[in-house]
Parts: sequence; structure tokens; C-alpha cells
Amino acid sequence: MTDRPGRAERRRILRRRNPFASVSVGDPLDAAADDRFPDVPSINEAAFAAIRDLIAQKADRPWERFAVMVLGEVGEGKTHLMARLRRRSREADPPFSFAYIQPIEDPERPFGYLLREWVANLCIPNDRKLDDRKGGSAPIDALLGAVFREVIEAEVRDRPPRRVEALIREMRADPAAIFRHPVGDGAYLEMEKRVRRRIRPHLPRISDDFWTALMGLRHPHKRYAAAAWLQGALLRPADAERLGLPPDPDAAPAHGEDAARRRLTALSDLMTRYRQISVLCFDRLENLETPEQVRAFGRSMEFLVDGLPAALPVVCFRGFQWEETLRHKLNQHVVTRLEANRFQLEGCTPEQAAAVVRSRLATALDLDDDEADLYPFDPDALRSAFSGGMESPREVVIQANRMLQEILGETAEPAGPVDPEAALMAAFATERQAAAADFDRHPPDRGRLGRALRLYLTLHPSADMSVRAGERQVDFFCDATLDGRTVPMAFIIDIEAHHLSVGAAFDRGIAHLEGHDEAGAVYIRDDRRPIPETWRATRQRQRCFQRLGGRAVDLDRESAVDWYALTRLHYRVTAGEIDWVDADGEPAPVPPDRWRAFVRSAIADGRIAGFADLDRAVMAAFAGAGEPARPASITAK
Amino acid sequence: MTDAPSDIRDALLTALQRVGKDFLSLTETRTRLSPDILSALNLSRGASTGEVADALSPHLGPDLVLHRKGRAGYVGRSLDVILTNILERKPGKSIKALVAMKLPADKAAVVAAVNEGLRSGRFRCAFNVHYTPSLFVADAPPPAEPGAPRPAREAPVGPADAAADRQAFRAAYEAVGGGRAFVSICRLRRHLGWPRNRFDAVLSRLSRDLVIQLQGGDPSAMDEADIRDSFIDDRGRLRIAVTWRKPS
Repeated sequence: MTDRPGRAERRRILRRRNPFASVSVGDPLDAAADDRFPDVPSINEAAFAAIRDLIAQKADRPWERFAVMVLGEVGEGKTHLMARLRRRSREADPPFSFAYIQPIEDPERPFGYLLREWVANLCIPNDRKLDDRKGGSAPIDALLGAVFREVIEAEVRDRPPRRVEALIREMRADPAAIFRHPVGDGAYLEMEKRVRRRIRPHLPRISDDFWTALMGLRHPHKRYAAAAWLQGALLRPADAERLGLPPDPDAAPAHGEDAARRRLTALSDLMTRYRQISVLCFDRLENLETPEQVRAFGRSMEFLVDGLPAALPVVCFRGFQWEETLRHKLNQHVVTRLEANRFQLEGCTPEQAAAVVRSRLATALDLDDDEADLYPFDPDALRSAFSGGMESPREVVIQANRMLQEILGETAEPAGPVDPEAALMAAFATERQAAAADFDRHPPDRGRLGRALRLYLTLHPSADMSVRAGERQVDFFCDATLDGRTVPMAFIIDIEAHHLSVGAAFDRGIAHLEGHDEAGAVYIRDDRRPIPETWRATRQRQRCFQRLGGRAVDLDRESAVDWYALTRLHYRVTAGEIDWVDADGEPAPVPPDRWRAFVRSAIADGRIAGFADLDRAVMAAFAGAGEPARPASITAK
Repeated sequence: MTDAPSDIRDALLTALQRVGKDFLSLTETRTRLSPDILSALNLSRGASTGEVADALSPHLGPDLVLHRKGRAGYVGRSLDVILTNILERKPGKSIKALVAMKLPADKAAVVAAVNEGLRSGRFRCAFNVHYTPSLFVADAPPPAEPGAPRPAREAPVGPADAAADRQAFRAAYEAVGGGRAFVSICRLRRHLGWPRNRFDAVLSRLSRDLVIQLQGGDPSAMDEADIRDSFIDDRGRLRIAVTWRKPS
């Protein structure tokens, strides 16, 4: 119980810490946001309770095939509901894992996308303060722990040694306890062998390689490579050898899709055996822009629902957009699967609106719920403000913010960014921070890097870029025109760690450069995966590529964070989550033209600095080999 | 042809209606005008704001004016109308809150316009519970006493009429929606064929009674006629669809 601050003190606190300044949850995986965006349980209570029951039903009977669809307009709480499900994931009995899936970028690889997103989420530790190189805190560790527990219990059933008895007791309470025991202990290494012997007959669809990678999670020096393999990445031969896996025989994407399907099936089979289910939340689906992306999304849904019993997809759409357009573009089989459990979010009643205001005030003033009241708001004025009908929770916060400004006068913290530029820059800073915090937990992602590259190309500050889709290793082709001169260019993003794949990417670049009189090609690589010196043949192809005028750009950590942050912000802007305050003082979503203007100017003036190396490479293609590059920021379009 | 002054004025009014505002910056105006209108005005997309102002000024008529605020230029309704609309939407604003808003005139001009409104009786001033002077439009209903229901903006209707309207609206919702939950307001309006005021009044009443929920949605794929036939709510927000609430 805290001392309740007096009225003057409360006004002073609210001037310094405006609880209504921020309106969007942003990232439902961000547990720190739980304090800033407190729950009002009665809002969308029916939808939440029904989804909670469906999750329990799935945990009981994973073989039942169904999905959940949530419809709601901008600001009605779709992302907030996701955050609520994430909190529920640890309180539920049995607990479930929660995965927040970003929109698909590459429609050619729907299964690779599903696998990467799902496993990446399973590898996020529940306690982010722990060193996740050692493991033990992520949902995937609990899965591995459950496997070990079954084997240990079976092996020592008749005559359990005292030490193992204690371990079994510990693992009953927390299956991931296995991670707290010395890795090199011969008994545990022996146990890894016995896991295969005992469990494999029950799970015939799980390959030896999958078991090997899964066991690798318990060894700190193998953990990163093991997680990357489970996420579908092609490993460097040295990493594969360290894990005890054979090198991948083929780097072709189609092979990757087959492998991804097999790994997804293996993961689901394993989770189903231990009654562990995952709720996979698909949000910001306004970003499905092309018919190919919509179809790829449909295929992944169909596979999830019908082929992966351990997964429960929860899919969020804007209601009007779903009914008017998207449902007509998807396979009817998928539509019926999604619509079978359909929930529509609603706005707040006037009472709920007041509860939202009260809960935010309580959070800012550090009061318990039963101590909180509406001061400094006039309850009647508040009731009157929300008496016009149902308001989305976001509208309630915005309206409350405006009223608070008037009550506190000019000394209050400002209502929020007043123009789109400022709103976008602030949101970019937030996304950058989030991308940096998660950087090491996610392997390089070609689709997201490709989205950032497309934004850079289509909004280039000085050159006209006529961009078209690439093929195979090439992400984009474009006819780049500057000062009346047009250069056909190819852009290759390569995240693969296998020499065959990297060599093929350089070959495609070389073919492009040789196929045109004056051409440019840029090879972009996340420098977490450098090309080893020992790959002599690959290095030779790289030199040949560069001799012909091709440019290689290594994305260092800071630059890559900028690229990922830009893509994440693009998803949020497209979903209407970034507001600015318009001429009438009314908050409104940032429109697409202001977003494009922001990207163009922020890259040109260096506020988004991660494209500088790429820009030099592009300008060098115009300048010709050996001439100095002219950065884009010199000229404004 | 689109070079008649009335066409240009209509295009400007449509642009304002589309964004739900009373004024636009000259740059935004240039962006929102169709190529036909720009061509009729002899303007290109790259025209300066000065050129846009010069080209528009002969076509504005009585209901639109050019505003200047420092170096920025705007086109829109007169300052009196802008202030009246703000106070109708949000009665009780203080003068401090008004001048803090982004308006197409500097603070001195806003204060002068408010003083003129008070002198002429168009606006009136009262103190709120925080002892702050609050502004109202003079012919708007008086501020609600604490606890009193919010005054309705539409003409009062009897219970029988209200029930009949609700029934007709529900039938239209079912017919137009064909089982959908999110039903387009413009299609409902056309289906019912009611006078605009009546449709808007029924929509507002059903929303206030928490029978339906007005939905914002994404108007970018809608044409101008659909946007015109949608609905602007009390706070000036465009609403394009309704959902019928399940009884709680």
C-alpha cells in the first residue's frame, strides 16, 4: 500500500509523466509495455475468454484442427489482445508458448518463413535477463527438458540412483532444469544417445539430424548453430561439423521448402507428444500486398491447421478489409477454417472508457486499482466526452490525452508528436531499440532486409529507380537513372552460410554484369555471416564479380539494425498504428505519402544512416569503376 | 471540361470533405487536386505554393478563402467558420486551447476572430468547473449540467418513430450486408434512400445508444462518391462501416 499522493502532487506527477501520451502497444512481446498499457479486463472480455477456452481445448486435444480469427479496426485492441495472450501463456495450466509472427515477405518460401518465425519465437527466453547462450529459459528448452525427463524416468524406473531422483524431482517442476546441469557430464551425453533409442520409434517422422540439432541446444558452443538449423538456415560446413550434422547437399530454395516442411512436422510431432502447444499470432496482415503473398499466407495457414497439431494460429485482420477484399482472395478451404472461430473486437462503452482512464492514471500515479479515481478529470465531463457511442480504446486514450492537456495547461507533457515526421522519427527510434535488443536472437532475414531494400530503392533521394522483382538469388532488378544516364542494376541479398549458395549468388551477379554493356550489381551480406577465407572457390567468384564492377556491401550491426527497424516500422505504418496530430488537433494515422516522404528524407539526410554504404555502392555504379562515389544526400530529388 | 470556376471550387470542397478538414495547406491542396483540375489551373505537380495561391484565388467564391500564416499558405473555409466548427465539435474549449491548435491564422488573428464572435453574439463564454473561461457557439445547446445526458443534435423523434427507424435500419443492414458484420455506410445510405439528415440522425442515435458501432477502416480504396456517402461523426472523423453489437 502506497501513500496516496495529494491532488497537487498528482497534477505535478501527471505533468511530468503523461499516461496518455502513448497509444499503441507496438510489440506484444515487449513485457515492459505491460506496465504502460494496463489491462481493463472487461474490454473484449468475451473474445478473450473464448480464445482462452479454445487454447485449453487445443492443449487437451491437439489433433482437433481449428484456427482463430480476430477482426477489429485500427486501435480496437488487436495487438493489445495479443499481449494479453502472451501474458496468459505462462499463467495457463498447462502453459503454452506464444509466437508473434510478422507478415510474410517472400511468397516463394511460405514454409521456410513459418519455420523461421515459429522457432525464433520458441528460442526467446521467458526471462530476458538470463544469458540465452546457455539456454534453459526459452520454450524450446522446456520441450527438450520434457524429452529428457521422459527418458530419464524410463531409464531409472527400477532402481533410480539418488542423484537422478533429485534431478527427476527438479524436472517435474521445471523440465528445463536439465540446462542447469554440467553439459560435459558423461551421463548426460549418454542420455542424449538414449533419447534417440527410446523416443525415436514413437516419432518416426523426426530425422536423426533434427534430434542432433535439438540436442545441440544444451551445449553453449553449439546452441546458436543448432537454433539456426532448426530455423531452416543453411549452416556453414564448420558449424554443421561442430553440431555433428552432414553438410547440406543442396542449397536450392525448393529443397529448403521441403526441408522446412519436414522440420515443421518434426517440431509439431515432438510438441504434441509432450502436450506443449504454441499459439501463433499473425498480426499486421494489411502488409500482405501482392496476390502471391496472400496465396502464400493461405498455404501456410492450410498447412498449420491441417498438418501441425501443436500449432494454434490466431489471425488478426481489419474487419472491413477482411470482408470486402481478403476473404475473396483466399482459398475457401482456408476461409472456412478461419471463420469457424471468428471474434469481433468492440470498442469501449462509456464505463469501460472511464475504466481505461482510471487504470492509466493509477499506473502513472503508482496507485492500486481500488485507490484510483478519475482526478484530475471531471467524471461528468469524461462521461459526456464518451457518450457518443462505442470508442476504440485508442480513441479513448487520445481523447483523454487532449482533455488532460486542457486541465493541466501548457506545462503538461505534450500530447505526442505533432507532425508525421516527428511521429515517424520517434517510432523509428523505438523500433531501432527493439531490433537492437533482439538482434542476436534472430538470424539474418532475407525477406525483411529485402523490404528495407525495396523502400530504399523505390524512394531513392536522387536517382529514379524503376524496380522489378528479381529471380532466384537476385532480389531486385532495376533500371536506375541519374542525370539522364540509365544503368541496369541487380541487387542480391545473401544470408546463406553455405558456399554453394553464396557461389551461386555471385554467379548470378556475374551473369548480370556480363549480360549488359554498362551494368551495376550490388551484393549485400549481413556481416554476422562473413565469407570465410578458406572458401577459395567462392572468394575467387567474389573477386571476379568485383572485377566486373560489382559491389559488395557488408551490413554491420548498426546498419542491419536500421534496416530491420525500417521494415518493422513499415509494417506498423501500413497497419495504421502510427498517429500524428493533424491541423485540427485530431490524431490521425500517418498517411502513405507522408511515410514515403519521411523515408526518402531520413535516408538522404542521414537520420537513417544504415544505407550509407549501399548508397555509395549504387552511386559507384553510375560513376564507373575507380571513380569516387557520390552519396545520395548531395542531391535532393 | 473542368475549367469552370464552380468545378474548381467543387474539387476543393471535395478535397476538404475527403480529409474531413476545414482547410488544407497549399502544398497538400496541390497534391490532392486531380491532374484535370491542375491542368485547368495551368499548374504542375511541382508548382510553388505562390503559384498555387495565385491560380486558385480567382476561383474560390464566398465559401473558400486563402489564409496566410507567416510564410505558410492555406486554402479553406473562413476563420469564423473554422472556429465555429471546432466549437460545435468540441464545445467548451478555452481560448488557450484554441490558439494552441494548428490553425491557418496566427494567434492574434484567432483571438481577434473570437473577440469579434463574442461581440457579435455568435460565440459565448462561460466558466467551467476548473474556473477556466470556456467558449461555446451561441446557438448550440447550453453545456450539460453534471450528470445530465448529452443533448441530441438531431430533431427529437418519438419512441414509435425511433423504433421504426431502428427496425428499418436493421433490415437494411441485413439486406446490404448479406451476412457480413462490417457493412458499408455508403451502401446502407443508398439502400435506404432517406434524406441525408435523417440517415445521419438515425446513425448517430443508434451509435449513442450503443446499438451499433461506427468503424473507421481504410478509405484509400474508396471513390469520392463512396466517401461522400459515408459519415463524419461528431469529432469530424470519417466512418465508413457499421457493425451491429451483440446484446451484452
